[in-house]
Formats: sequence, structure tokens, C-alpha cells
Amino acid sequence: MSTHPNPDVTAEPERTAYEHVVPAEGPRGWRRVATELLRRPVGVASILVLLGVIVLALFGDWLAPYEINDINIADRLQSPNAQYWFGTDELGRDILSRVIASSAVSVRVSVIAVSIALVVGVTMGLLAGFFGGWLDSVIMRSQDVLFAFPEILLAMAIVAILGPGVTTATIAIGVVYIPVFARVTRASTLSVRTETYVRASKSLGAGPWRQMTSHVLPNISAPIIVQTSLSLSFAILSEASLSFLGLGVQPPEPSWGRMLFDSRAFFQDAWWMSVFPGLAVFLTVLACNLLGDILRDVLDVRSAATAGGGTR
Amino acid sequence: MTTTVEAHLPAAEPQSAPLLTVEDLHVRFPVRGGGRRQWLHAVQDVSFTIGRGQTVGLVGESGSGKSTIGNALLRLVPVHRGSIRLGETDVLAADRRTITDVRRRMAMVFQDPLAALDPRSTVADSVAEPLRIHRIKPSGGRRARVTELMDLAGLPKRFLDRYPHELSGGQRQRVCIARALAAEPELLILDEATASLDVSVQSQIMNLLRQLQDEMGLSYLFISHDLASVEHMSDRVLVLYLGRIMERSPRESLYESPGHPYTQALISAIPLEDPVAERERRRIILEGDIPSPVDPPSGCVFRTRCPLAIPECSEDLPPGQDLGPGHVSYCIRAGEQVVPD
Amino acid sequence: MSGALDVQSLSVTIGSARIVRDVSWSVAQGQTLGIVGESGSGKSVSVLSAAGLGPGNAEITGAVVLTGSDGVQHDLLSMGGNALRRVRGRRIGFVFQDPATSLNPMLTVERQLTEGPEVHLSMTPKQARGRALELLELVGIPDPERRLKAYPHELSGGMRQRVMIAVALACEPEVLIADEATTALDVTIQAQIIEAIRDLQERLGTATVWITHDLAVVGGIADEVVVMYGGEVVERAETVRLFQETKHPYTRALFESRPHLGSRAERLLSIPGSPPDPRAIPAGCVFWDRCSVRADERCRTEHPELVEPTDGHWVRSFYLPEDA
Repeated sequence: MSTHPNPDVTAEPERTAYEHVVPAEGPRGWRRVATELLRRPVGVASILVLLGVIVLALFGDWLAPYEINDINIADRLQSPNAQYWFGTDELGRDILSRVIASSAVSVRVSVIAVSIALVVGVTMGLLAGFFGGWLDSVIMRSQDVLFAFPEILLAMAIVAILGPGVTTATIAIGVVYIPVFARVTRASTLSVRTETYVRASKSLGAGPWRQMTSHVLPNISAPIIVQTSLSLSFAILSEASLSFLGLGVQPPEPSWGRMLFDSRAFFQDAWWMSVFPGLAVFLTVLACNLLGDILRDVLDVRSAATAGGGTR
Repeated sequence: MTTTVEAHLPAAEPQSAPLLTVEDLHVRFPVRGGGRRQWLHAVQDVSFTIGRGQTVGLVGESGSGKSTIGNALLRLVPVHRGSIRLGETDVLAADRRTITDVRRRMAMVFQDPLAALDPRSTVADSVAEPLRIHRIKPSGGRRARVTELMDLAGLPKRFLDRYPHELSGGQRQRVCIARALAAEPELLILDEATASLDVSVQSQIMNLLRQLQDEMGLSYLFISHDLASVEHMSDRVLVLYLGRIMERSPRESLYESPGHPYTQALISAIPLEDPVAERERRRIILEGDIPSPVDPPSGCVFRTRCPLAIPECSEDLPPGQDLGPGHVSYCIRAGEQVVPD
Repeated sequence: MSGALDVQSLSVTIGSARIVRDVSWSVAQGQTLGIVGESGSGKSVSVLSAAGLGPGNAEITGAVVLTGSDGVQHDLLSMGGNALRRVRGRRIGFVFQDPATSLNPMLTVERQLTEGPEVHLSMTPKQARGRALELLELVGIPDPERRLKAYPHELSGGMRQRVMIAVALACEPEVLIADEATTALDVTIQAQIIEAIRDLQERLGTATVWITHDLAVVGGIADEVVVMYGGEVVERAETVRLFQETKHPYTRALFESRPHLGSRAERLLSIPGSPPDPRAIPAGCVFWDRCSVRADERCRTEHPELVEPTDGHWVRSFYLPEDA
């Protein structure tokens, strides 16, 4: 044992012929998430469905075969045929075109509503979880109040104040969903706040703002993302419910919920008036939910850590 | 009641103004216990100084308060009484801006490097964080400075864009060390910094720390439960038990002439290098468990397990007895040797 | 001599990770075997896999034979679920590192102690309780009557570990496996526990396998020591021999890289680099890239076998020093 290699201080020995071969890391970060998603048939199917909905929402005007409000009494209540693929309603309007046009409304309402809920809810949850104390109590008690209202009742109350309409419905849904984001965020914040790396950041001189934004937020993004995808699906349902009750989208604008509302009287005779909009809601919500479930699996931090084969 | 700092700052302490002065530090935490509010006394009556370029070691077992002292220096825990001065700055009275600067001048390296690094930040991001926090813009740019720090810590450049879970334990701790050095601190608090590493890596890290200290004139507070490591790294050692100092000693006298029964027990608990001698010798075995810091014993806190305990031990806190230059034992029977049974 | 537990050519592989490779050792009644290694050495995985507690998706080859006090031999690797559980529950006791997670927090001490004897020794609850008291006294817990009713979280770390030992010994096993049993304990408590186990071993004659990363700890309690690195056995010898006539450069380095109380060394010997990734085991000597000796050209390209340069002392190395 007479010769010691010089770098008894460095992490890598000088004279090594061994490459420290560690099998190449798989794709990291978002690329890994994407790869995982695409590997699962259910994930692919969900993404395709949602992409389809978005395409319809954006380009519906060009894709729809007929004008959505073209009243054509002569062609009313036709069952699905070669001319009207989804049949017509009691005013002779093409169901297919209206279903397509509705997608725009649904997408718009759910995205905006969830955005409201996300921004307000996450902020509140982050502050409550991070600072604790009276701020936590105040914030979470207010969330409890909101949460205690049945969703529809609360939405109806807001609509009653602001008057029915798409915008009102959007705001109402957004407000109703704030508590769930606040809770999810607060719970994650509570567990991450005590992690050593947050303490380390504080010990290095970081103030609460930097601790929250640089360290807590990125590490709680997974449950928030999952919640977002789930909430999007519920928002679509909420919009449909509100419109079904006559509180959301007002005629003649179509929405899936509105179409279901309008189809009540013709339930037995013209099944196509309710089935197609209903199917549209069902498929979209299903795709969102499934995607949310898969994202939850894929974004699990532990599986991300072990994918690289971490050592002690 | 307590020993004052002036009476017991041993002669061997640095003559020039010390970098860090801790006086009569008391830290306690509230404990929910049944009805009454109770206090967990984590640190009591602790005083010491650290000079420039010096290493002071804190050794103790669980409940000794050693980690709490480290946290208190950076005001990461609320301090009940006492004072902490870093140079001219009063740490405990510091306002927001001042405490941020204190946290630039002193940096901590934690026990678990994996937990101490943000799993979503790359190595480069983590190491650069102090630069961002203190708005330091090195002339060559931040990336260059990060590379320089990686080099100091013995890490190859290709780790810059890796994530913590892709590194080994020793490599992660080096990243933590690089990060701790980023803002050019004057003192590093090493809180069990080698405890969770493999044995073969511990010595790498200790050597690295010594080298950095020589090159950069850093001061260290080396906290550990391992007496051998503490003795190796430190110029002076403080032995802690249940939040109080049992003995303070320059490195040389600690092993040669431990003056406190607890120190002797700690030394005795370490297996000897020679297995034959190890089997044949009798150890000092301390009976019972470490008492609860919520209700510490009266008088000398060690008396419930002390092989030299006498009735007087329960009356008052034992005064410090000088056993040599810089060597003080807080025991009525200081200097007596425990005979293993 | 066939021992209480005999492991032959054990290999454990998960996918492309060859975690344990060709490991053999044995421990006899009344003896203590120390298995020393760092992380990545495979020490825990090898022993736990031998006892059937290895990772679920692992491929295990080799032979593991447990010889009961009645002389009956059990080939553990070929035994299926229930049979293995019966043999293991009755004949092997485990003490793990963290008693906080190894003891069931919902069960009282008494319940944890009586479970084994009731199931494996067919004791009545009354008999089992008597045995529980005996065991608590055996492991040196004061006031055992009162402790029986306690829950794990009401006990201190050292006390919990003693309870773990008592649970492990409840069915009078032939083999006791202690995996880093004292690592998480304070030094003074560690000393207590080591004394307690040493004492028990003398009294009960259990074959003990003591797994640890701390070479110094095994010095005082093991009869034979196996040193593992990177999934392989690199040295094996009777304890005093291993300490005084160390042959493998890794073992040497382990000794010399620890700070010793009272030494004046400025710099510690350190081993550069880190242990190999089990998915990329090099072709030559597994320690080559960190070895400071490298006496032989073959080290890099050829895999050394275990050789026995002196009686009872095995080394996996091409470099064989003449003397200590």
C-alpha cells in the first residue's frame, strides 16, 4: 500500500479505465412525462379525444356542416340520416353542427373557470400552508364556508345575483372550485414546507417568497396538475348542469347542457336530441378523468427518483 | 446559577477577537403535554467562541442539543435567552436585512444531502442559489463561479445539469458543500455532515473540509455524535449532554485526560482497534436511558446515569473546574477516572 | 462442519442489476458471523434473500441450508410460501435497524412477544405471557410486568431495540440475524445493546449473523468476519486474523480511513470514487478503480477468484501480501 492515488480528495479517481458506466438516463422532466403518457393506450386515446374537442372548439365554425341556428321547420325532428348525421331538433337545426359548436363553449367555460379556481385557490392554499397560524385559520375557514355549499346551490346563488349567462356561469363555477384547489395546495404545502431543502434554502438567506416560489411550488406541482385535469372534467359537467337548469348558456347559443335542457320534452320521441350531446359530455369528461389518473401515476415523484436508480 | 463566560473562557482560546461568540444560550420548545404548557429545554447555558480559521467540535448523543445550537446560530429556531455575535453583529437582534447577511456569512451543511437538495433543481441551480439570494454577480458570470465551486468541491463539470437523485451520497454532499461556499461565508456549520455517508466516503469529505479550511481560512462548527470524527476535525471540543456542556477541552487533552465521567463513557463506548483487547477489556456501561429534556434532572443533568454520582450532585449545577489550559470539566468530581465494573 | 445456516454461491439479480454475486459463508451454533460492507455491497440483500425476505422481483440462485437443533435440514431457497414462513418464523429471528418501524405501533409489547410462541410453539396465552416476561428479563428490561402493557412509542430507542431482540428470540430460533441493529442508536446505548447481545449469545448459543458497515463493532463480537464490496465477498477470516493480518486492499482501506481517537493524523487515508453500480459491474476486479495497490496487470481485466493463502483466511485478490 505504498502508493496512494493523488486525488484522495476528489470524487473521481484519476487513473480509471472504468467509465463509471451508468446506463444512459432515460429522458428527464417533461419529456419523460410525455413518453410515459404515450406509452399507455388509454393515455393516447384520452389525449386524442381531448385534442379532438379542442380542434372542434377552435375550428367548429368551418367544420360544422350547417349553420347552428338555421331554423328549418320542414326538416324538424328527423332521426339521424345521410343528410343530418345526428338528426335535427324541434326547430330543424342540425344536431351535429350544434354539438360541434357547443364544444367551444364547454372548452371556454371550463378552462376559464378552472383558471380562476387555480390561481385563487393555489395562492390561498400556499399562503395558508406556508405561514400557518392565524392566516391559515382565516383562509381555510373561508374555504370551509364555500365548500359547505352544494355546488349547484352556490352557482345558482351567484347567477341569481349576476343574472344568467355564460359569463356568470363561468365565474360561478370558478368560485365553486376554489376550495378544492386551496385544500390540495395547502396539504401538499404542509408536507413540503418541513422538507430539509426548504430549511436549507432559508438557512442560506432565502425569504418566504423565494422559499415558496422556488422550492415549494415546483414540488407540489404534481397534485395540482392532476387536480386541474380532474376539475376541467367536472367543470364541463357543471356547465352542462347549469345550462340544463337554464342558468348558463342562454338560447339561441348552444351548449351541451343547453341542448340536454331543450331535449327534455322530446326525450322519448327524438332520442338523438339528448343522446348525442350527452355522449359528447360523457366522452370529454371521461377523457379528462382518465388523463388525470394517468398523470397522477406518471408524476409521482418517487417513481421519478427511482427511474434514475438513485444510490445511497 | 450558571458559570459566566468570562470566568470560563479558557486561556487557550484565541487572543484576537473571535469570529463567533455565543453566551449563555438557552433554547426551549413548547410541548403539548396534557393540560399544562411544558417546555422542552433543548439547550441551556451554552457559551463558547470560535476564532477565525478554527474548528470547534460539538459532540453529544440524542437530546444533547448539538444540532439545536447549530440551528440557533442561523436563527432557524427561536432563542429564549442568551446572545450570539458574529463579529460585530448581534444575530438575535438582527432585522431582516441583517439576518440575511448573517446567513451569507455563515452557512450550514446538513446531515442528509439528498433531503437538503431540492429534487427538482439541477446541481447548478442548487449551487447557484446563494448567488441569487444575495444578488451576487461575479465578474465572470454566475455559471463560471458555479463551475469554480464544483471544482473546489471535487465535482466534475458534467454533473452541473444532473439532478440530486442521479448522484451518489458523497457526490451529493459535495454539492451541498459547494453550495454552502458560494457566497463566500466565514463560518460553516457542519451538522452531522458525514453521518449518513459510507465510511469510505466520510474520510474523503473530511479531507476535503480540512483542505478547504486551509485554503480559505474558514471557521467550522463541527457537530457530530462520533467522538473520533470530532476529535479529528476540531481544535477544541465541547461535550454536550441534555443541552448542557459537560466538558470543554482542546483536542489533545480530550482523549488523553478526559475529565468528565460522561466523556469517559463516550470514549469507552467506542470499540477498540484491537479485537483482542476489545474483548478483554471492561467497558463503562451507562445504565438506563437519556432522561427527557422536558423534565431534566435537578443539579447535574448527568447524575441519573453517572457512575460517579453522589448525593451532592442533585443540589446545584456543578461549577467548571480547570483541568489545564483551555480544559474545563463541569463536575464536582472532575478529573476522577471511572473504573469500569 | 455444517453450520446452523449455510449459504452457498448465492446470487441475487434484479433485471440487469447483479446485486449479489456468488456469496458463500456459514455460521455455526454458538458462533457469531459479522458481515461488513457499505452501501451497494449487497450485505443486507444477500442475507435477507437467503432468509426469503429479499426483493420480490429478484432472481435468486444458489443454496441456503438451515439446520435445526433437531438436525433436520431445510433448503430455504426451494421452499414455498407457507412452509418457508413456518420455518423462518420458528427458526430465524430478526433484529432490524429501526425499531420504530419494525415494531407494530398498534400492538402492545406483550402482544408482539406472545404472537410468535402462540403460533409456532403452540403455547397457550398464559404460557406465552410467562415466556414474554422471561424474555424481557433476558434482554435486561427493568420492571418487565409494567412494560408488557406498553406500546412501542412509549419506550425509548434503546428499550425498543431490546424489545425487538426479545421478539426475535421468542421462539428460541437457531439463527439470529441482526441487520444494522445498533446503527441508529446513540453510542452509549449501542454499547449497552452490544453487551446485551453478546451476553445472550453466550447463554443461548444462537448462531448470530451481524450485518453492519462498522468494522470496529464486529471486532468485539464476531468470531468470523466476511467483508463484502460491490456484491461480492472480498475477504473472509476469523476476526482477529482479519484485523491483524488484513489482506484485501479494501479491508485495509476501511481500517485506515477511519479517524482513530488519539491519533495525530492530519489527513485521513481516503478511498477515492464510489462503489460500482450493480447494473454495470466491470469485467476485472470490482475494486480496481478505487484500489491504490493495483499490483497485478490482471486486476483490470480478469476477475479474481477467492483464494486461501493461509488456512481459513480467504481473499479475492491477485495481490497477496506476504505478511500483515
